[in-house]
Amino acid sequence: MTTSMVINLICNPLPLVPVKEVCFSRTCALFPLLTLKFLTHSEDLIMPQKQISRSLWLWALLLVVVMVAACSQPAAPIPAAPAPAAPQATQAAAEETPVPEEEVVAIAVTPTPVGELQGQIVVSFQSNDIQTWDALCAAYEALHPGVDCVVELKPPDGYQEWVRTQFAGGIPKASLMNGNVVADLINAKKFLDLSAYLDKESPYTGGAWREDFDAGALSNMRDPLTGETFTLNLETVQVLWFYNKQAFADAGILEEAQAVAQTPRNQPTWDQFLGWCDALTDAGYIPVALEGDFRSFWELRFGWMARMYADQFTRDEADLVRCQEGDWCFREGIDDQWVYDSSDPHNDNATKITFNPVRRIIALRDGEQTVNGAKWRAMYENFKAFADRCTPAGWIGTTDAYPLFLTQKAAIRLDGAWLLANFEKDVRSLAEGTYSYTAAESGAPTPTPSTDDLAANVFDIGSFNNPTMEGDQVNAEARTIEVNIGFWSVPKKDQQQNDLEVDFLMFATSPEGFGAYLQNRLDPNNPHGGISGPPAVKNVDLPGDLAERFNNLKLIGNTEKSTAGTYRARGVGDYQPTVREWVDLAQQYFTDKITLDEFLEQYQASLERNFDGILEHMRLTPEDLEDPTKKPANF
Amino acid sequence: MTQMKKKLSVHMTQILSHSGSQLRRMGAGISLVVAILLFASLIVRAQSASWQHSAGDVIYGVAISGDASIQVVGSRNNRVMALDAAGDLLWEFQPRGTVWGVAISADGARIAVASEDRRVYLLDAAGSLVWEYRGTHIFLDVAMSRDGSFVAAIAEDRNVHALDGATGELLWRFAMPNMADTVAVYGAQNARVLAGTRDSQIHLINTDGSELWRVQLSRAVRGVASVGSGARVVAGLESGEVVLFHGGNTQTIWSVTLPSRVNAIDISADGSTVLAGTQNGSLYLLDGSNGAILQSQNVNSPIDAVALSTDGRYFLLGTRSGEARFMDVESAATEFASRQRLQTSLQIGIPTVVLLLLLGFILWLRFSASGHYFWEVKAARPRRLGRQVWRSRVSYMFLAPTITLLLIFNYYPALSGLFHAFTVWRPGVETRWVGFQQFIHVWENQYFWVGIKNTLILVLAGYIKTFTMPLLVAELIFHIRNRWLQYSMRSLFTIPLVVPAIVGILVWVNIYDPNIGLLNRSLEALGLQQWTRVWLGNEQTALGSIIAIGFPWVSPFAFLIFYGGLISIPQELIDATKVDGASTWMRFWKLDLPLLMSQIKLLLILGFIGSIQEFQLIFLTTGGGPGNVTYTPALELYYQAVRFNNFGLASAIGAVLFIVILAGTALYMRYVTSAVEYEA
Repeated sequence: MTTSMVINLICNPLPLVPVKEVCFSRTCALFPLLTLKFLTHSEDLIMPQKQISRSLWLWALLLVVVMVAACSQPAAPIPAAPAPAAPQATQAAAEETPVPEEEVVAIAVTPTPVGELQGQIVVSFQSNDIQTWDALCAAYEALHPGVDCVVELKPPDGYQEWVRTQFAGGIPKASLMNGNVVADLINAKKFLDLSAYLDKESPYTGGAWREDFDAGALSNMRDPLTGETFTLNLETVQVLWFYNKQAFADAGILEEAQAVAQTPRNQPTWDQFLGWCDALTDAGYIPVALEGDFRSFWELRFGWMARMYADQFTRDEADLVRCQEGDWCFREGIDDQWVYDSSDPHNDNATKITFNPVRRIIALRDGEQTVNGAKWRAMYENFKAFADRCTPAGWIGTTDAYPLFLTQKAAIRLDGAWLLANFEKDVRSLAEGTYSYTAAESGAPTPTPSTDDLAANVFDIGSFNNPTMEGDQVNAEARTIEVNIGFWSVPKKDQQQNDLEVDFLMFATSPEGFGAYLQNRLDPNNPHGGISGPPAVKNVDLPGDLAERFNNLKLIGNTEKSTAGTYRARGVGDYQPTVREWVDLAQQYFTDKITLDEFLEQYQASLERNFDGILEHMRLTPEDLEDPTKKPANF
Repeated sequence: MTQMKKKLSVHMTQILSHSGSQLRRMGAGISLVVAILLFASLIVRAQSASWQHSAGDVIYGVAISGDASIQVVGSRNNRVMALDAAGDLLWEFQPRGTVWGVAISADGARIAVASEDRRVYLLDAAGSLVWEYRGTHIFLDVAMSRDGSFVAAIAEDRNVHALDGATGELLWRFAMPNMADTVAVYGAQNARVLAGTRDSQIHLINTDGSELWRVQLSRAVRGVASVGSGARVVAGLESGEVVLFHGGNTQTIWSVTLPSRVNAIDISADGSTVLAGTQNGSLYLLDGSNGAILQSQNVNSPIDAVALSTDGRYFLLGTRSGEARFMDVESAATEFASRQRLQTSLQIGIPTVVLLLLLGFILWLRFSASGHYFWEVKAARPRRLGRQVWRSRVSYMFLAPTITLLLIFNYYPALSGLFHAFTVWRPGVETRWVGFQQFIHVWENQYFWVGIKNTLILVLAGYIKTFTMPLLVAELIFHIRNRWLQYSMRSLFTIPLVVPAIVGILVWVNIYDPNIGLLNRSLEALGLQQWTRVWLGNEQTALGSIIAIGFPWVSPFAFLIFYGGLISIPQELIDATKVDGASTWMRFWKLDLPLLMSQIKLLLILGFIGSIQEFQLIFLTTGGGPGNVTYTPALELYYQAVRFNNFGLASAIGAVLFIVILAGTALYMRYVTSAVEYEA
């Protein structure tokens, strides 16, 4: 092998291009000579240490010169050299029929035949109800033999973490998840926008898919700003207070409660409600069965209360944060028609007003929306009175207070309307020792039923809507959570797989599929069954008595939507660092470790300290805050 | 001869003393090679850009006239800028909102602008407004026929708005089934519209507003473009895929997957070149005939807009950082080719240099006196070790899988965690080096410090539990004289080892349940209602309740360790204590305890490590609550990772815990005496 060949190999391995003569003659020739001198010396050729060192440097330097000289190209531009095709490239032969640029290509599309559906669907909701999903999968597989439908449900505990892990590992295997637990991933568009499918024909009903849903429910699922729909919420739920009629009778307040039930909103005042608590305490009952652990404060009952009642005090902030003329989100014919009306519980529905998230955050940054003002003080004073007079000592930290209500130790339970459907079953399961906290939690079944549990019997229950707080700081009557829930989401994958998964959803929301769903959910032998409320799917009916129970509920307006100020009711949105600090501070306040002033000041400080994280969580940048009229760069 | 040998010996010693530095210098030489080559490449790169211009905000739209004499840039700060081939500003137009898209006719005489102010503007070559079209929603993109006679824009109302290029009159509206983000037009008087949607479709709409075909692709369409006749259509997808298909029959001609999401795409009029800008800031020039990557470059900011001149000789790109860059393809090709050569040179050159160095080293060992000396004297021990390893190769072969798995599943994650402690790390999203920032956050984290305090309490309580009951039980069983009974008792205390710890914890959670728990029920049965508590929910009792879990705290593991220590005490020593008349108590203090120091040391270390890493017990009982009274650092680590998605901070907490454990263990090893030797 000649020296030039060696150099060629170094510099131009593929293809072998001759190295220029100038290189060889002036510099490269030194290379082999020096190498030979260095490598083949005998004892008498041993060089002093400094010489060896120098020669090494020389050797390295020459190598540089060789590389640069031989491998660099002249300064003159060269045409783009064809590079090897990318490894993932696929190429199909196509006929070449050049079309003059003045003309447009002739259209000759051959319709592609639609094949039988194939693939795998993995159902991974946070649920224990294997029976229902097995039944749905079996029904779907019977229609589509080429599809493998797998049920891999997950327990609610740690579900959020599980979902995050799935996305951290790439594209999740799961086809169906509860997306509501990871709002940030929804914001990051990790889930499929189902709105793209709503106008497509459902093969199971023959009409557009949107026609399978109640229009109002569909509207609630839609992001008012972007029009996207990332979750399917198919059961309508209302949060309200249930009470044991016998306990109320024992306390002498049944008639009063029944009189309230006759009013249009079935809503006592807050002070009236506290009075009921006192009467129940005097009668030997625990007034309210309420959990006080982290989950309760974050996503369950006390978290609901924090969000629902913050609404009473922040409705008048709407003008501050709504989309104004010139804003990217301003909708002509809607936002320009809006007038603040605190007596209208639907005044801030998405069909009437649009809120600008950038203006919200600017208001938070500039101190126009705080959490330590007079309104928050008034609200938390009421909450403290509630904690002191209505809950048993040590409610903070209680993870499951429902048995207190079922065993008639506690007289009132704040719950979703699902209690109407599940109450008898829950009483029975508690008596049989198979109770688990199915309403919203999971839990180990009670291993040995206690005497009290065995004595649990079905009792008459009544209900009332959120007691309304009163005072100077209150803007409007209390509303409640009246939403559709379910939160069925599809992780974004390739279109073919997503199409298959949406086809399964179309089946599940057809009268046939949802009928099977309800049948299993309402099966008295299904220990994990139960529904949350009337279905949002059309052409599916509940059993008569259950439908009547739901129909008797009085709607008072929804707070669980984009509102003026409830976003900061318990931390900001679901931004966990602020949620945790709020839970921590609120628990300290309710257990008298800190004063109300300390609580509110520290909560305000927490939001200020976490502002950058809040901004990022809401997909905003500091630049976005410079001009709220412009659509944020990451939206 | 002797003198010569001495001289040689001295000389060799000098050489050998410097052999290490020689090798280091050789390494430095290689580094120099790399540095010089990189520097050379930078020089080449710096020469190739035609012009760059900062728009001051995100650039969402760029367009380039047929002969590249006019370039148009539209940005988020309500600016439309027209620049000439040299990059000089010709004029500027300011709509009332963000500019989401721009288009230009082939002759540069007409410029269309899609804006957030719900308008489409048409400007002439001087930047004067010709007409504006007012819609009801934000316009997301705009395209124009070659002659400027036809304009198509897509809006957030999911409609394609077709406008007369001369008057701005609405010709027709086409309702898309889903939101479209990108639009293109081909043809002139018979112009057709291509619109790419978020549900992975491309729709072709005819001049009269009727749909001609739709193509289903695999992911959301982020960019679409076509040749002048529409015979070739290219789409850039969210997945990074670039698909080129026949515009007449929709048959795919080629597809290629780029490493990042494609944000924008364009194709030259003859279809010979495709240009794609991606989310990771890379620009790709592809061969229109087969999708081969002709060149690529990275501009370090997501590229949201690209445009190719009609002849494919020039391109313009706009970035998220607000930079517009105009280049001619040839100079870009030169740059790309230089970089490719550099890359190839490094790939081949560095291994070659290393091989040559190795060869030189071998020859030096073989043929030089200093090499001989080095081989015989300095390398003797390594060679001996090598021979020993070779002799035991079968053993090492069997050990290899274990070591490999250990490296992969134990050491790699640990080292990875150490590295990520210095980063903002969101797996699958970003890894950004932030130095010691995460450690500062750990220092400022109140939950971490509450956890440290709780950990100290748990360590202390753990020691008390470990060194009392298990030791007492071990002593008692050791002193049982009946062998069968002794064996039975030992087994009974050991069997709980097979029960998973989590089961025991959940049983205790049930015992503490305020409503149905054994503890409160027992207190009630004894008439002690006033003593009942929400044991794990009350901040006064939560930590104590956790510590009390496992009562009476006879840890099977500690018991076994102590019992093993006791039975290993020589019988002679025990007999001697009897002869000396020592009481049982004295024997415990003077004999058993000193001889159990090895076991105590082991349990001290394991207990310390276990308490520092305590997570499971807290997570399953209180989750750190109520408030923050039962937090531990390990629990905070877990929450930061999986609840807050803040893996960088979690890694930093892990690194701090590692240091604490390492230091604590070293102290124990140094200062706790293992055993006491007694001389007979």
